[in-house]
Amino acid sequence: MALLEISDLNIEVVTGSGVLHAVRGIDLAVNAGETLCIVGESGCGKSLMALSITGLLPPVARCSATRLAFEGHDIQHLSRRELEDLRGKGIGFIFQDPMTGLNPTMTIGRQLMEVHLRHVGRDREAAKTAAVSFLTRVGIANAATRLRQYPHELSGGLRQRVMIAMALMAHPRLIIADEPTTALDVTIQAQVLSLLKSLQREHGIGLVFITHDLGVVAAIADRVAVMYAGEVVETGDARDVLADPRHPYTRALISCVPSTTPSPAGVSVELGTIPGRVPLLHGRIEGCAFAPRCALVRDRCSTETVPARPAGAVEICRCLFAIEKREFFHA
Amino acid sequence: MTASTPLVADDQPSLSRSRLPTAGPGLWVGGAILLLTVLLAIFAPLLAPHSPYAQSLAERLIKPVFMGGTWDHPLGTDHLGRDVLSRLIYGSRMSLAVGFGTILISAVLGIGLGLAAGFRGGRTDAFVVFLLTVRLSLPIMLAAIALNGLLGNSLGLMMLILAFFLWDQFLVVSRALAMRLKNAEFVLAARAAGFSDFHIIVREVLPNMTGPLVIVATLEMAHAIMLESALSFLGLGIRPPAASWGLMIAEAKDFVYFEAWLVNIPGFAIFTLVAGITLFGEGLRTVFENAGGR
Repeated sequence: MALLEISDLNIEVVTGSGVLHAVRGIDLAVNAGETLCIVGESGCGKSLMALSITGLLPPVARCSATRLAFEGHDIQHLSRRELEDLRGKGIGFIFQDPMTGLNPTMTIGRQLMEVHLRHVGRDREAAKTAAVSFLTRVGIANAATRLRQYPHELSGGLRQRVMIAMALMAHPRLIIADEPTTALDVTIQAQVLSLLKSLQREHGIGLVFITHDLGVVAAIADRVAVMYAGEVVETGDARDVLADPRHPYTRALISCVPSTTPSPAGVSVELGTIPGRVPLLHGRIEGCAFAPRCALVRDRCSTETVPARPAGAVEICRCLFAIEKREFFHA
Repeated sequence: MTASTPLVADDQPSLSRSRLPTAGPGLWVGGAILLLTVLLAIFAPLLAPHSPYAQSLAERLIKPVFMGGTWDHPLGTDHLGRDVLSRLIYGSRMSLAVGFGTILISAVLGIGLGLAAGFRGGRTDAFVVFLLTVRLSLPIMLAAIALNGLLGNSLGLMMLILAFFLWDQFLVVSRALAMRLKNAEFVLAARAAGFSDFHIIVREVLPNMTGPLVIVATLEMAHAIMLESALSFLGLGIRPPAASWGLMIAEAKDFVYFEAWLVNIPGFAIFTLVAGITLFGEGLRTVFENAGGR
């Protein structure tokens, strides 16, 4: 049984210019101790999807799913109270921006202790001990002193560690991290990633990691789901997807990553870009959503419904030519 | 990334408390005036040289010491021979009681409505904004006079009536802040950590509103004190023989052509206190604005 199972998740956002189908029929599963990376451009619905799991969507968004289960229990019809108990305790969240993710008017000790007091026990001394131990565990030296500091007294990297500690305080079985390293510089980013990875292994936590950075995916993912325009276009083992992507979008994403290996002298290698824009998600999309931007598009792409099916080593790929077109990629 | 990557963040904790940003002299001058008035009010029985009610027709209308009076009555006596300084000192109690009391009630009213409107949005917000429009369309002075005339006058009633008219700024400010803060990432983080709406409002949102709300409170307090004086002057506020600065002016108005100081002294007291509180509020605003940038 998977730790988290999502099938046919749809999210609609009501905007001034009509209803936006931000997430369209997503199926995902995360096992305990596994890292699932969700990759995609800005606006492809990955953050909304993450928020919907614990009912944190803004009021303008509606979500529906045939199944949205955590540890085998459907969580769609939980009462507000039950949902609040699940948040933090069952499913922890780490947000993107360490600068705004902590309450500026409370010491970090208080903020950590409150999570313990909310979910674990009413004993203040135990809460304090737990706060110190988790701060130490996320690699913060002088934890006892740090407890008395306010967020503005800490650097960005330290604040992100505090936020990770906060997500761990109530011993969740699943952590959803929404671009937790995007706001950090690369060296801190590497530290935070390896920290997350080691904590995950230590506690056997399932991790859903949302990012647009394929380098991060390569570093930590067990499995990867590539999202485009509210759909998962390709899912599979991270190594398989990165080594031999079957979907033209995944392929294009990978070509957009700058390489650090120097090009031959005198030869400048142009960085790949994907022409066009993410489609508007107002109405139904006929055929493949990526067709207008796809370098390998054919007539059938914009009319036929694209099935989700396995291709090569990849578990699921949403491309009509996932199998046949392989030679084009290597040409 | 290798296995030997140090997992310990090793920059030392800097325990230097951030110092108060520079505020200019207004904060200190205003604060001193407010503090002085509070001390006057608290220690009135010790500081007042005479009883504020003791009349002596033989000693009526003695001029203050700087106009040739005696040190026995440093600020002179009124038309009933009561010591003006003593009445002034006791009058500060009225002004501050009305100031603080009114603000307390109107803050609860305004912030409560503002949080409800800002957080719930939709119909709640529309209704609260309607209430605000109704409130803003009532002329304070006229409505307060009518209510006072209708319900009688006592200190408690005066506070209630003034509070009923002075919640609008609290509402406007707290509503705007609530709308901004409900989308703040730390509020989302608190929701994601399983905290209830009540906890989030009390622990996450309200503490982040205190700065602007304290500024509103000081400015509205000055407003309330002015209104109290005005109502007392009109005979609708504090009842004689109690001492209130507005009432002192009202009682002295018959003598204004001959003994102008009798009007000027309480007038100056009102001016000083209101100016002091306003300076204090503006000073706080500067401090919070400077602090906001970090």
